[in-house]
Formats: sequence, C-alpha cells, structure tokens
Amino acid sequence: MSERPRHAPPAIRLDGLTKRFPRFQLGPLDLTLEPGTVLALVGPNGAGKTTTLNCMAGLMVPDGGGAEVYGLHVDPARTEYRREVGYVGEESGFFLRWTTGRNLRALAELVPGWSDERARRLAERLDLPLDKLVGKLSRGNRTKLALVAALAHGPRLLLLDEPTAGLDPVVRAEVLDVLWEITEDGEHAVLYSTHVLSDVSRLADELAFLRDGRLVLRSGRDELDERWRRISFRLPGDVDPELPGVVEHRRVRAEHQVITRDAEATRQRLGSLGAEAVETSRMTVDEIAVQILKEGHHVARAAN
Amino acid sequence: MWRALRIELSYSRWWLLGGLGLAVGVAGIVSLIFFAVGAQGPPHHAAAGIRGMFLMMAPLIVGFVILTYRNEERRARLLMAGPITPRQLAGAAVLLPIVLFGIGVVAAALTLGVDSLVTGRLEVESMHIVGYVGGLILMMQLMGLVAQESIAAHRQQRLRAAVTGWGGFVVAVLLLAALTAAGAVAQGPMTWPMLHLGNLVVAVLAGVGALALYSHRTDFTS
Repeated sequence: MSERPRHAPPAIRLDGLTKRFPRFQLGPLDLTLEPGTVLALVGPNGAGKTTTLNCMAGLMVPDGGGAEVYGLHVDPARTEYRREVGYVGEESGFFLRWTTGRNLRALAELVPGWSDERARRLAERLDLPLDKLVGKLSRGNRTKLALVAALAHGPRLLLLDEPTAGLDPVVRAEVLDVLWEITEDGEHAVLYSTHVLSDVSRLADELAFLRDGRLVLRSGRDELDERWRRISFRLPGDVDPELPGVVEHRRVRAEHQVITRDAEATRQRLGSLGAEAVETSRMTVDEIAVQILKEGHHVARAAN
Repeated sequence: MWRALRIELSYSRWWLLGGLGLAVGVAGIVSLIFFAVGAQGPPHHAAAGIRGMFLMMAPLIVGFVILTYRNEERRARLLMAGPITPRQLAGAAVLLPIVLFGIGVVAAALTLGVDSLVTGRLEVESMHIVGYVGGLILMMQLMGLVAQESIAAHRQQRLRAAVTGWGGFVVAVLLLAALTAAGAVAQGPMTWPMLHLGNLVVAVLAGVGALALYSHRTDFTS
C-alpha cells in the first residue's frame, strides 16, 4: 500500500450509504478505501456487493448517505468523476452486433481521457480478438473486453463486480495477472466483489465481509492469516472451557477442536488451563470467510 | 445526448438502410402494378399514398427493432461509461423515435414530391394519410416509452411516478380517442387537422412524460 499524501482524499468514502429494495436494504454502509489498496467485498449472493458497486459506479441512485471517489461526489454526469473510475459489471451494455474493435471505438467517443494506445496494448496483453462480433464472444473474452473498456482511460479507481466469475482457469489467471500488474504500482485502488475466494489471496490487501446488506467485518488479509487458527487439544474431564476468540467449538469426550479468531489469546488461555497435545493449524481464506459470514449471519438476525 | 443518439443510429444503420431499401422496392412494385392496370386501376392518389406510406413506416418500424436491441443489450450501462446525466440519457431515448419519424417524413415527402412533379398534381389527401399513419406510429412508440418507464418506476419503488405515468397514459389514450372521434364527426376541412392534432398532442404529452419519468430513474442497470 502506498503512503497517501496528507489531506489527499481517500479513493472511496462511503458515509452511511443506503439503498432500499422491497425485500432488502443495503447499509447504512460506512467504508473508506485508501489509494493503492485492493479491497475485496466478500459475501454470499444477495449480500449487497453488486448494489454497493452499482451505487459507486453511478448506475444506482442511493436512498441515503453519501459516496465519494477521490473527494468527488459520485455523479455520472461529471467528467472528473468518470475519469477516475473504471467499472466492470456483470453486463456492460456492449453493441453485440459490432466487433470488439468497433465497440472500443464507440467507447473512445464517450469516455473522457480515453487512450487508443492504452486500449490497444491492453487488448494485446489480454489476447483479445478485435475483429470478432461481441455477440459471438466467449464469456472470458467479454470479460477481457470489459476490462479493456474499464482501463483504457487510465482510471485511478477500479470497481470490479465478480470479474472472474464463470471464467475457465486459464482466462481467470490471465485476468488476475493483468489486475495484479495494474495494482502493483500502488497507485490504483480497487474495490472488487467476489465469491471466488482463491482470488482474494492473490490480489486483496483487505477484505470487507458483507452479509444481509451490512458490513460484518473489515480486516487486512495478513491480519486474518495471523489471527485465525484451528486448534485441537485435550483437556481432562467433561468440560467446555470459556475460551477467548473461539467461534466454533467441537468436543468428543476429552478431545477438543476449536476455531478461533484470536489464536494468541486462545493459546494463552489453553496454557493456563493445562491443555495437552495442543496442535495449531492455519486456515484457508475460504474457511475463514465461511466462519466470519456464519457469525455475521447471527449478528444480523439478532439485530432484526 | 447527441453523441449517444448518433452512436445508436450508427449501430442500426444497416437496419435503417435495409428498411428503407425494402420500402423503396415495395413502392416500386406498387408503381409497376398501378402502371400496368392503368386507368382501370384505383385512383392515382391511392398509389401515391401507398408509396409514401411505406417510406414513412419503414424507419418507424425499424425504430421498434432499435429500441428492442437497446433494451436487450442494456445500453444505458455502456452510455454511462461517459459523463452523461439521466436527463441526457432520457433525451436520447425520446429523440430516437422522433429522429426516425423525421427520416420517414423526409423519405415520404421526397416520393410524394417526385410524384407531384411527374403527374403535375399535388395529392393533398395522400399527404394527410401518410402523415396521419406516421404520426400514429410515432405516438405509439412514445407511449411505449411511457409504459416502459412507468413499469421501471414501479420496480424502483417510485410509486407516485408510476401512478402518474400510468395515469398520463390513460389520459393520453382518452384524449386521442376524443380528438379522433371529433375529427371523424367534424367531416370536411376540419377532419385532418383534428386527427393530426390528436396525434401531435398525445405524442408531445408522451414524449414529455417519458422524458420526465426516465430522468428520475434511480436504477440504470436494466
């Protein structure tokens, strides 16, 4: 993550962002994203990830709260805002009976700051055929086209809605490579939604977990890696001890297995209890995400 | 707004040219048939009217195709990659059928003009029929936009807008019916002006209504 100059506005600032639907409400959502940071929005279907990104991209008008990009209010009509933001959504509205190249030329007329040279380089880098009709493109190539379209004007903020969903492993790797190269310079901020959690380990600096329209937890990827552990141990007697940080506890007679979000505190407590055969193992991002979202579900339901 | 409109028309130019080409072809065949049957055939103003009608209707019918593609391909998502206000997006949507109507008017006027030059007669009745049918189709397209935006407003929980849209739709239909009936009853020189006025009033109301409803959308994802 790059150092942000003093007084420089964050890449994203959400202040109580709210969007209401008949059976769902997003927010109020408070979120800040520093320049140069990659934040993954993680959550099950219907958690509010796409709605958040649509509100940021100006495709949906929020019912409450504010949203800013580099200090600019989200305003689809504002040229400065459009220059800063590149968006890859589930659908991009391309002209299906035109070739990819013709679509890019049309976008060049619409998008401020568009660079044909950058578009050409990206298309080459992604091996995107420019002479094929968009309607005949595979899902992977359509994603590549959407990426080129989102990046050709050199935006500082990228909003990506499930960019790798439904892609075969080869195309997914290509797309992730490009995103990795873009974010490597530390100048681009990226907010992307995903439930392909293996992507998270590769790209994200931070994770924000959404459930039922609410932010359940936001944490650095390294912090999650450090703190979450699966610990098995033996304690004499039929007791379920109170252990700090534990979110799941299974016991068969004296054999225990716990999942903790504060491994250090749990281990200390186990030491003081005289636990034997203590074994600690790392957890994958997927496993951690499942635990956090399960917990978040309880929190959200209790609040309702 | 103009850029968005221009790109959409450019995307559909082959449809448009194909439609006009087909209309010219049909008009040619009609002319040949009328020429072949000669004096025993229908009156001359009918031939002129049919030719003009095809040329007027072609771009308007293509308009239905263009609007369907635009909705299917969720064009608003692409157009919003550039700096554009909801009002400009709405303007592009409303202007599209009006521009196509304009193309139809020019094409029909050309054929009727050539016809009057050849025959030395100005077929006023034919011009009224062609203008009336063209206006009717334009009005229907704009009413379609009002219906589409009323449904969108309902989906977006803008209930007052949805009710206003549907209310306006019903009032426009009643108004059209009243003016058409008045035109039919009037008989004589007032008939055509009343019928054209009915189309014009409803088309303007529908255009303004669609513009207002679209401009206040809160969701541009569909």
